[in-house]
Amino acid sequence: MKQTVTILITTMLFLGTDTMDLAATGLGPVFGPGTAANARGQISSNTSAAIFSTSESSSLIIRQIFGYGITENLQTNISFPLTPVIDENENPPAARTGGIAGSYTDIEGSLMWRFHRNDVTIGSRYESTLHVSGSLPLEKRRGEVKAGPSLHAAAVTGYVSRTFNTWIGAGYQRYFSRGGDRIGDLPYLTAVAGYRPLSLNRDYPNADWLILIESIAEFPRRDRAEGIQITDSGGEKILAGPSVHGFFGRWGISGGILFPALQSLKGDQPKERFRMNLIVKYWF
Amino acid sequence: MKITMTKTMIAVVTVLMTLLMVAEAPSARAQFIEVKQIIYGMDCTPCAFNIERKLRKLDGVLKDEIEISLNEGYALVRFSPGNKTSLEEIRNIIRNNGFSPDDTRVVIEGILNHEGEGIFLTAGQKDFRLLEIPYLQGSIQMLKEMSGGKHITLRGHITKETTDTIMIMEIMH
Repeated sequence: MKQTVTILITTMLFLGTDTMDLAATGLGPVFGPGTAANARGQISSNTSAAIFSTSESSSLIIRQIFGYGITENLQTNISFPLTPVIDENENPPAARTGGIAGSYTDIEGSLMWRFHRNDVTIGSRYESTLHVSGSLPLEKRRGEVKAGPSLHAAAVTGYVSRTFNTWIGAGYQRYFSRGGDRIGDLPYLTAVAGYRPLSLNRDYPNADWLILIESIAEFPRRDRAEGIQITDSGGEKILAGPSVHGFFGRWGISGGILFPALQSLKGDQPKERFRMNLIVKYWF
Repeated sequence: MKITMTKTMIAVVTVLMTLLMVAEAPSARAQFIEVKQIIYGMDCTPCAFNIERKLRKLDGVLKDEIEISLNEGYALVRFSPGNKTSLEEIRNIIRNNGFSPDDTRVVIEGILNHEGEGIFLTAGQKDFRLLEIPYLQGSIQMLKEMSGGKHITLRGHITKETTDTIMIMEIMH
């Protein structure tokens, strides 16, 4: 696993692309939906690596996202895995790898519509965005169940400025049956607060840094195999942790880690130890 | 018949060439020398980078003299003489990047025109109405005393609600 992580980080720095970017023209959380969108006609390429570590094992997921700004308020994205899951958990936690990054080895197409924007003053605005997406799994099974397609919708609202940022969001991912099995639905809530320290608040074209504290509350429903609920699935979790974002012209890098603050699982499935995400970003 | 057609053709060509010269002449004169566009909502480096990249493509822009400030919220662009860039083009770049253009400070040169009680500056193909800022009274009177057709340069303020009205801040020459 350590060797895999080392190879991964090296590869990502070489590729220099960003995975799980939620806001190509703005800053957004690493682990949840964000509110900004690409500029009109802008293409973004994102590559990310996410690690899900449980009490039993750790898995590494590398995903790629391409985004296109249809307008300055409407963005379409396609997300897909670059590799099979590395060291796959036998019983992976029910989670998305990011706002528009999809889950595990799903191919996901999405739309982000910033339906509300209020540019209040220099360097700050309020904005709200709707996310809708559909996914198809590339793997036949996820844990103990056959993996089926899904639909996902989320809404997020926030305030961004040169000093403080905050977002709150909610989403729901509904999985469909496959061969009598169904992955449990995933409702979730997110809350993020960000701060740009004065010492790092340097003007363009200097590098731009931002620190976020991210949190996510997930309420995964039980999986079903051949119509019967799987005992070791479902529950409630709250995870929180820091993320750091740096931007340099058309390049950016983001990384964060979440730790479980609360895990109330309905069965004996392995508990999560942490989630980690590293993203290198590029805008065309 | 042949001679009449030739004379007619010469007359038409002459008229067309005259019209072209008249139409071309104003745009051959410099328009904006400097534009400082205030931007609301812009908060990050990639935002500024993309705006700068689009501004660099404007006609006549001095690429090495573009400034974008996130902390003070502006894009400053300087132009070479004879450029054809309009304020609307600059503001559309801001809008297409997802932000809101606010007021604009300009340095502009053009031809002074008097029309009734109004004072106008013709720069390129566009007429700008000139208004007086209350703390700078006397500027309109000064311009009225200048003869029409005089070439002037002034520093002014254009509010976000308009693109063709300049409030005079300084008559430079």
